[in-house]
Amino acid sequence: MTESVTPRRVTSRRPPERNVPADETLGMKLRHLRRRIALQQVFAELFAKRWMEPAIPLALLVGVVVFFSIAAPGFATEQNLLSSSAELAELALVCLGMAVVLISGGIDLSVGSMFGLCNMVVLLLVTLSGLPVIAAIGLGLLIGALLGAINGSIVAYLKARPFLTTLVTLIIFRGVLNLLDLNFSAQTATAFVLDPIWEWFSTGKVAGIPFSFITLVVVLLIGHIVLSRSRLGWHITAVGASRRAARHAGIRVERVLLLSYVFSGLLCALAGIFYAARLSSASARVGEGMELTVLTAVILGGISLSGGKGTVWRAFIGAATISLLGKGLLLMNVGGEVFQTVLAGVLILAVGLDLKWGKNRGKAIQKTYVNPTIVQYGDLPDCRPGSGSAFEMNDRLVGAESIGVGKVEGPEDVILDKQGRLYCGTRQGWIMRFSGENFENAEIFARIGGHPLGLAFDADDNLVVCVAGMGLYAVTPDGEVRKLTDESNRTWTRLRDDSRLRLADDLDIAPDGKIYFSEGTTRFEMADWILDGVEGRPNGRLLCYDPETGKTRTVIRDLVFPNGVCCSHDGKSFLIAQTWLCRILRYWIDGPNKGRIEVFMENFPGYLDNINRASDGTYWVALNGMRSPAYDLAMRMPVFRRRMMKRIPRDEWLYPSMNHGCVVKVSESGEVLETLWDPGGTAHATITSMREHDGYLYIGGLENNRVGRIKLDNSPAESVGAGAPSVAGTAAS
Amino acid sequence: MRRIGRRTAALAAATMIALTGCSTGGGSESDANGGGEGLAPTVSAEKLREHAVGSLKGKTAAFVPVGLGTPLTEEWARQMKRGFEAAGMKFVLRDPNWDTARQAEAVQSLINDKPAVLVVHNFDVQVLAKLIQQAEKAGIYVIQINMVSNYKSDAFVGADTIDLGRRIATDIVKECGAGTNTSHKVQIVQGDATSGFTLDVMAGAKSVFDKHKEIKIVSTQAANWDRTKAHDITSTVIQQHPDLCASWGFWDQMQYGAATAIKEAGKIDKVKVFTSDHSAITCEALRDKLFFQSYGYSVPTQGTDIVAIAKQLLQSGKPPGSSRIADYTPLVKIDRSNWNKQNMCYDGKTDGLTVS
Amino acid sequence: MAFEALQLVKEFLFPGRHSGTAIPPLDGGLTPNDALENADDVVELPEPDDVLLVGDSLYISSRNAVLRVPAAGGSPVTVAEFDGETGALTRLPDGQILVAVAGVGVASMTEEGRTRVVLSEAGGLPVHCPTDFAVLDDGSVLVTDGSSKHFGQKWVYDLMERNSLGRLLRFEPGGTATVLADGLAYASGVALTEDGSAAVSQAWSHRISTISLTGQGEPTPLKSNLPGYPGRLEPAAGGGFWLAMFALRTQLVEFTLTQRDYVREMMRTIEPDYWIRPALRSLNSGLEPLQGGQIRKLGVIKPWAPPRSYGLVVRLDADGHPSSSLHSRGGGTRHGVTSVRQFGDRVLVAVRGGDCVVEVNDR
Repeated sequence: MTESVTPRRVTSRRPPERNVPADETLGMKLRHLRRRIALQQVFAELFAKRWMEPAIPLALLVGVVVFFSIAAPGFATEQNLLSSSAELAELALVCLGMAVVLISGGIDLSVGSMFGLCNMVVLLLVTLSGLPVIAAIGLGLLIGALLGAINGSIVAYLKARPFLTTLVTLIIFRGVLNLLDLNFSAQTATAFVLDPIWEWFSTGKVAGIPFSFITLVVVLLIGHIVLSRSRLGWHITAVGASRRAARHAGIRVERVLLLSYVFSGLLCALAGIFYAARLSSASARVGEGMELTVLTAVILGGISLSGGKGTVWRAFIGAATISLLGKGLLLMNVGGEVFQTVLAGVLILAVGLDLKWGKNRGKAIQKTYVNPTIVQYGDLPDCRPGSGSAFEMNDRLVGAESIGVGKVEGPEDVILDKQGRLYCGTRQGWIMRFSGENFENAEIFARIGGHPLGLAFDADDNLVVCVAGMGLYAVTPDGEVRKLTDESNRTWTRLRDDSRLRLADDLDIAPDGKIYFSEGTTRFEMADWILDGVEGRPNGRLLCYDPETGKTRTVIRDLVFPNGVCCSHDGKSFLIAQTWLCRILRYWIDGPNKGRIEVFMENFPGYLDNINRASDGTYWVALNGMRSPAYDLAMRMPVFRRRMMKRIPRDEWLYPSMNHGCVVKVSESGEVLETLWDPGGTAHATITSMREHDGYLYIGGLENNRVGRIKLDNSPAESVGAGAPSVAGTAAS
Repeated sequence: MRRIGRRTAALAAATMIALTGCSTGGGSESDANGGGEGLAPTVSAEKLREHAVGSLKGKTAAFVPVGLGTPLTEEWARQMKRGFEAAGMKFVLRDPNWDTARQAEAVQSLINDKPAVLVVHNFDVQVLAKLIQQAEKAGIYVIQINMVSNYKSDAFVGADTIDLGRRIATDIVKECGAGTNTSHKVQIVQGDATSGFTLDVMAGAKSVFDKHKEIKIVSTQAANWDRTKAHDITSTVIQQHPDLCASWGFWDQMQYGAATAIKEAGKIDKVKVFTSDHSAITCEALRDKLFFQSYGYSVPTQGTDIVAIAKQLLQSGKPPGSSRIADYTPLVKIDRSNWNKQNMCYDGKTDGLTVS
Repeated sequence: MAFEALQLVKEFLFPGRHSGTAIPPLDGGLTPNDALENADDVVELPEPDDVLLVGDSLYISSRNAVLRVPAAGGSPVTVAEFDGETGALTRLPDGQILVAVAGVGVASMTEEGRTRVVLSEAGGLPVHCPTDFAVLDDGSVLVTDGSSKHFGQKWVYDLMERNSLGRLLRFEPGGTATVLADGLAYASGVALTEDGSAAVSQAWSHRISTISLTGQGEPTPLKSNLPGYPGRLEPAAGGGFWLAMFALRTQLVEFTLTQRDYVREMMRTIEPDYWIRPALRSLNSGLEPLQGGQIRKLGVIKPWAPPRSYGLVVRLDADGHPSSSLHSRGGGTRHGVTSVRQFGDRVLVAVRGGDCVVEVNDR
């Protein structure tokens, strides 16, 4: 271990994000290298993405395509896929209509009849009525909307049940279709339409892709935007999720329902127009039984029958699966009856797996998200009384005064202003201020939220604070809260979006006014910080906020839980404490070594938290927990930690020994000067910070209900932490 | 302002590129069938044989009926399979299972596969018209069977449907027309209203019924070739018109349901049931006195005729679409006097069937 | 890696199916209370292991000696010293006091302090870990031998190795010893049941089994799946038993015991005091492994935190079901109960991890 650090030559290469023992073998190096590649992590972050929700239907679609590409001759050819896409487009448009109605909480069983009826009407108009084709198409769409409106008004305004209503309209529309068929279809049989627009609808291609498919893609995009990003789409989803709550929220439920059925009718009409143009089949049997196929398709895609959930992409995936399945079976020359059986089997599989996926996705992600790696430590320095080491335990904190006992909960960091008033954050998201002779007056100085952690004053006496779960904030001397920043540049090589700050931990202000602060981990939320400890990977970073420009950028990426940040006395470098590695890094911001990083001190006997400047050119370091031999061993065995996480509840996990901490004073050259302990940790467990002010040392603890204070022997009357330029009056986000 | 300009420019460029890729029509190459040069009359038998066998060997013939599972289409398939395979060709069958859209899908995918000969049994006159055109452009000979499309291709093999309509109408006039002691009421049960068969038969019937105005057609309904539907339609009709004289259905499988409905109404000895096609059910129905008469159109012959015509087309070397042949197979009236003769009916499985 | 992936898929398809017995919660007769923590002190002395009341004198085994204290209290006096740690105490009808000496065997002691070893070997193996006695009517004594490999405070090694080397012996004073049963998972306590068989605690398998005195037949479970490590058994007045539970089971310890490579490394490189293990007392040191629920929050360690040490005295009825219990919970001082003895209507408890002997009421 290093009680005093031999000054290392600062190389341009960054020190590895792990403790490298002096006698490391090549085998160990390779093991570490292997552990750096975390394939499981990629999967976990992929599955956490929202667009991976329809993973099962998508996997099924891919499976169908792959299967038939192998089993059915001619399936995987370009011609086949292009020609299939025209047929798919019609089915998908109807499925889309059904999906919109399902999402709004209803069901539309009349889609098949509407499809057939619109097909017949458009054919009659085009061949017999003498209207121009454009007008006929427009009229067809209008009629589709009208049919949908019939459904919608009965359901919305007459408050009838959708199932029954659309069942009845199914019969009625089919009846009208039969009538038309009987009386007029024979006349359409011999008519031949030679209109370019009609040709375009039937066989038009854009770059080889049928026009109907292009239209489908456009409709899908519009539908997606409307459903997910427009007010109408949210209203439709809200009505489907809970009609009563939507009504109470002021949504015009009837109008929304009507609109969703009108959409369904419109889309059926559009599909019918494409069908009419392609096949010109004026038969009463068009669309017979289609409602079942469409229902199967949307269920396959995973749209909930109870409403309120679903996307247009799910409907498309379901339609594509069924259409390609039918095509593949046709090419394999399997009989029609088998198609129904296969469809039923695929449906059962899809629904079963999708249900499980929906229920267990969160759990699956949870179980694979944390990826423990090997963290090695040097020999544990002996701290026991009588050991004679520099870290030997004493009881200097036992007689500490307690400030605000029971009035504060979780003062992670403490600071005092020029008037000697004490500030600290609490877990309720407040900044408490204590004033008076013995700090007996307690008041809530500011309400921010999250859990305020690191504190610092800038030159204008604004209190700059790192708020875990929120970002970097500033509080003016009057108590007015302002957000400085809560985001940084996103790392594009990572799947997970790390642009938002999740765990801003400690900060310090450089002489030029820039605020350097640490983010402990980008992969876990504030409440799950211990998971980062179990993982032990370099998930954190050091950021810099420039008050002049209001921009935040990531200065050092991939640090293992950077916690304490402290500007050195000469303002040329920053000390960064890394909790899980039990070491301190030095990052030069000025001078000949500017931009380089070196290891300042390592192999502490405990886990490091905040660092602050002392009054005599040295530094105070807080150790929030001790290294126990059992935990050190567990950190060398990632499989043990992974299994522990999976099999026993969090309350039972092996944790770092955070009931016993201490405060360490270190010199500029990395020597341990003195330590202050509270053996037994009754008053001060989990010591996360200390601040020297006016001859006293103030102790803060993350889980404590008090702030401690002891008198120091050598006491210049200076307070530390001031002297940095202001953040007021600059661009804040 | 600049940003908007840039975005519209990009959009316009994309649209331009997309538009240039636009095209209509089935669009595919059309290669004339191999050969094309005619053989001289003095050619040797060896050369003649070479040419004949070579034109056929290894080629594929595909058949797309409206659906399998019925003796009509199965007999066709059986005859065609036997004939084509004997000629050294492959025979491919696709079953759309009575679905119009699936038939179109099946034909489309077959066009992609490019068989040498395609035999289609059109659902209606419109649905495959464009596809047949596309197939011919792609170099496939198309033969249509029994139900014709608006787009006539190289050959049609089937019943002389217009004549069939005329003959049956004449027979009905004889049984139910002026001079008979009946109500002169006739029910017509069609297959599909837009099917080529229906249209042609109705045209033939019209030409006769127009001259005999006493015949009253009380109901014309399409039962979609479905027995149950025909049954339901007829039971309503027979209720409305208990004095019905004749019931004419366009297909024996379908009309059997109508006959059953009439029998259930107890009117089978008063109402005469007319139909066409001569599968085993016709002979049985005639035996059981359900049908009055039927016209067979030599279904097994149709199958073998198709094979013959296909062989001729393949050897001719003429480009697809350049011929216009119609082969009408003989119409044979089957009634209660001759139903039990040999070969009157077929069942799709055996040759030389006799129903007893 | 592939195995983990397979486990994941299995978890996905059939969630929530776990194998292995779960630790039963403390409820029913075992509902936690502070009765042991608040019990009356009788005497305070370092590490009392067992107590024996003879008339007015209270004999207590502590470290390598047996001490005597006036029954009402007062300072202890050393009666005799031995070559190993003293453990269980019992009195024969003829007035001899038997003392279990770890590493040596069973010794006999007179009230004046004269000692001699009476049993050191049985069934070909030395009796090095005698844990408890039960005196039969005919003067023979049932002795439980915890393990043939480890003795004394090395019992934690036996736990970590998951040995089943315990035995039940029947010993005639002055005569031979016969082995009635072996292969027990650390036989830590014995008492006679009403029907004349022996109830034996097996600490590592957390159960109390009945063993027939004929030596035939397998041990039958009387009470399985106890929430802790059962220790010495004592027949209670009115039927049933007193059970001294010297530690509670925690999920971390049970999990760690399944991870053999971790246990091997731990035993090789770390001192036993700092293992992941049940303990008789908490050292309140940062070197001890800490469990998540034990973190001090707002100045308090919650009483129901996973216990590294615990104080528990259980009153079992004749069927082995806990009818009542006395606890000293997390944060308490009276942990590590090694012995509960009933003398007439007085019930004395040796709290080894609390360095005291206390008296409780017979409920």
